[in-house]
Amino acid sequence: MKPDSNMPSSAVAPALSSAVAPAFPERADRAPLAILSADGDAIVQRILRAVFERRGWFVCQVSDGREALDALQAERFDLVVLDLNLAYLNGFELLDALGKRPAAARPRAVVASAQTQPEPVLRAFQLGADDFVDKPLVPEILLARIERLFKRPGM
Amino acid sequence: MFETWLIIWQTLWSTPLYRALLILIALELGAVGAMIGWMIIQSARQMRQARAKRRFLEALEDDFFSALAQPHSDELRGWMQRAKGYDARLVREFLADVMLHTRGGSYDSVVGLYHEFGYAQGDRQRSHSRNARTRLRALRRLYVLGSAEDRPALRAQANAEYRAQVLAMQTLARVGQPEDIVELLQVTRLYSQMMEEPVQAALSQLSTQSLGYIFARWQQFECGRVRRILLSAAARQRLSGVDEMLRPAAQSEDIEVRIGACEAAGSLQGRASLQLLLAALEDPSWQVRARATRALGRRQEPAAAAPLAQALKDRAFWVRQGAAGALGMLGPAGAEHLAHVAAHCDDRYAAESAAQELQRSQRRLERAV
Repeated sequence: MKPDSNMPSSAVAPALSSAVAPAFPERADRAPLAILSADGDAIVQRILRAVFERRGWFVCQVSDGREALDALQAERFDLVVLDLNLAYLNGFELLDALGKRPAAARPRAVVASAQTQPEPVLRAFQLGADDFVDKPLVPEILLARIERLFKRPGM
Repeated sequence: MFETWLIIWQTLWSTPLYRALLILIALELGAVGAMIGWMIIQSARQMRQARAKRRFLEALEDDFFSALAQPHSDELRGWMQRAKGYDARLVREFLADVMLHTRGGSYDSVVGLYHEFGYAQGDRQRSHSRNARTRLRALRRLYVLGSAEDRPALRAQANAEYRAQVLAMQTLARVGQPEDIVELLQVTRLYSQMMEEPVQAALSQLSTQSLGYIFARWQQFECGRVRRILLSAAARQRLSGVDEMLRPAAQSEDIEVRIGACEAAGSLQGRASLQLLLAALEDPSWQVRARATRALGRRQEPAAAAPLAQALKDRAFWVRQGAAGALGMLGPAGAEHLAHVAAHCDDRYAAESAAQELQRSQRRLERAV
């Protein structure tokens, strides 16, 4: 079962509890990834969704940091792809919140941001980001980084 | 009834003052009517455009994103063929909006198809429009979806206003050759720091080789700010020839070029550039002196401690601030000078600057602990 990709972002988190929960069991090696994508830009969201869904991965999308935190508390994700410039709770705060979770319940985090100066990149890694990709996004690079992160080249 | 109105009308019209008033009222009513009519026409046009856009998005948006996820398939070509049935302006704007956010294989395919289907040609034509809005919108689309084919249209923006020039420059930094950038930089005039940012962004996209090509023609640029930006960028990239260029730049009559020499010297190592910065502390312009203090701070040269302590007594506030900050960055040697000036200097301003910097250093230290 797949989350409704046309659902408004604010409605995604509560809807997930009932709609998606059975689809994200304990990770098996070949199981599709469950991804939370947090980005305030609707076009970036559409691109990410198209790219991830083409891979057969499950995507839940939120448009600000607060919704991202709600979704993370409601559901279990393998990966969070987040922008640093999020409303209410920015990317750094979200990474910080992720870092406080127990290791077993902590999803991997890939930051996708146009803030490519050394300071924000360094800070993102210090707060626990697993990888960083620049914007404008190059989907091939993002996918390669995710595959490397999960060490599943045949995915 | 009609006769009564006719009598009133004849009475009014026969009196010059009332006649003038009647004409005035008629003109005003005409003007208001024309404005209302214009607004109705505009609203109808906007509604028609919005409807057309909605229809376009409903029919093609999902399919486009789906095709975008398959860089090497024919889906994108099929999508472009379907899009030909819609208003070209909608297709162009949609593609420019979406493709601004992505690069890679799909992006390259869309750029190729954008040119193949003639949309880029339309943009090239519009980039010469007399209407500034039309011209800038076309240049924005070329910024996102332009290719080397569009170089002549972009180079032609050398004769245009600043915004068109920088859009063309940023596009050429991606799709053009360094000589294109040189052509535009020769005519670019920058009057404020805000105007510098887009030029810096364009230069930052260039390879070291391209930047070297442009820097070799440094003397050809008339605008001091352009020369300063270029000198700083060249020093950051450690391009050959920067050292030789520093001395004439430091002696330039143009204050911006002298500031550029200080910025460049701050990114370099070696005695010659250090001497240049120490000499710049005596420059008649406070902007140059302030930039020299900051550059010395960035280099963290212990040999600069005494001249920087002297600069704490400068008559310009920003020079004193820069000198205090630079001494703070020098570590114990700088802190010693700051403490001495704060405790013993007769110059109130120098003592205050030193004391403030010591407090800032202390706070930084506490935060670090």
